[in-house]
Amino acid sequence: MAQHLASIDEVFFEALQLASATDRAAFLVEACGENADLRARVEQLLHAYPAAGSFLETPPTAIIRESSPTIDRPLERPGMQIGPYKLLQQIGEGGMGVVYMAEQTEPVERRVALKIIKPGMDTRQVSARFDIGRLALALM
Amino acid sequence: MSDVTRILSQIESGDPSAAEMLLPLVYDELRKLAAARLAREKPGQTLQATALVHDAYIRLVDVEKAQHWNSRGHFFGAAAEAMRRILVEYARQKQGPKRGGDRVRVELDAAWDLVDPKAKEILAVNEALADVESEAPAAAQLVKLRYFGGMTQQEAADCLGVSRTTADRYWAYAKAAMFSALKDAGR
Repeated sequence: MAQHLASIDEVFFEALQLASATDRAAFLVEACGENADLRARVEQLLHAYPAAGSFLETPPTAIIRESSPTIDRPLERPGMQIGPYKLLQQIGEGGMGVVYMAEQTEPVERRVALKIIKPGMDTRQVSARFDIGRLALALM
Repeated sequence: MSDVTRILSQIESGDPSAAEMLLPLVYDELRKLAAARLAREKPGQTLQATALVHDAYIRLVDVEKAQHWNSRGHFFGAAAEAMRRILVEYARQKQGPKRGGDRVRVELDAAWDLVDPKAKEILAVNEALADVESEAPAAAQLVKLRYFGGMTQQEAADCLGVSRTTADRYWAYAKAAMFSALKDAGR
C-alpha cells in the first residue's frame, strides 16, 4: 500500500472531512500504520483546527494615520461632538492649540470656550497648563 | 521588453538566477508605490497589499509579451515575498528597537500605521511560517500569497498552479499547523 507515502497535509485533510471520531480513528489507523509520529502530529492538527477560527484569514492592512504631513489639516471642525461638548465656531488660535466656542450639554447646559491642544502638545506639562486655563475660564 | 518582463521570460525558460533578480526589483517598486499612495490618500484610509501588488504588476510587466508564460504566478510569488519582508520589517520597528541597526530601514514608516495587535500577529505568523515551510513548502507558499500578498484563495491557487481543492487542503493544514505552533509557543 502506498498510504504511508501520503503527505501530512493529505492525511490531515482527509481525516478532517470525516465527521465522527470513530471514523477518524479508523482512518488514522489505516493511513498512518506503524508511524506513531505521523499519527500524533495529525491528531495535534485535528485538535488545533477548530480552535484556529479566523486566524490567518485577514491579511494585515496598513492604516494611514495622522502624521506630520497632515497636521495642518485639523481633525476638529464646527458641529463636531467632543465628549459633552459640541463645537460651534473657532474663536481663537495660539501656539498650542485652537479655541472653540462650544455648547456643553452635561452636567449643565452652558456655553464654554474649549481649547483643543495641537497634536504632539499633549505632554504632562502642557496638560497642566490647560487645566489652569480651564479653571480660569470656569471662574469667568 | 522591460527588465521585469525579461526576467520573467528567463525564469520561464528555467534560468535559476533570474528569480533572484526579480525580488529586489519588485520590492523597490512596491515601496515606491506605497510611498506615492501614502502621499496622495487621506489619513484614516487603508492601504492593502493586494492593491499595491496589482499596481506593481501593471507597471512592471509587459502583459502582452508575458501572457503566454506563467508570468503572473512568478511575479505574484515574488511580490508576496517582498510584501512579507516589508511587513515583517515594519512590524519589528513597531515592536521597538530590540535588535541591532543593521537592518534596512523601511521608509514607509512615518505615515504607516498597522493596528498594533497586527504588528504582533505579523511577527508570530512569520515565525510559525518557518515550521510549515519545512513540513509542507507548498502550503507555506500559499500562506505567503494569501496573508502577505493579500490574494484570494482562487488567485493563490492559480498562482501556484494547483486546483482549488488542493489549495483548500494546504490552507486547512497551514492554519492548523501554524495555530498549533503559536499556541505551543505560548502566545
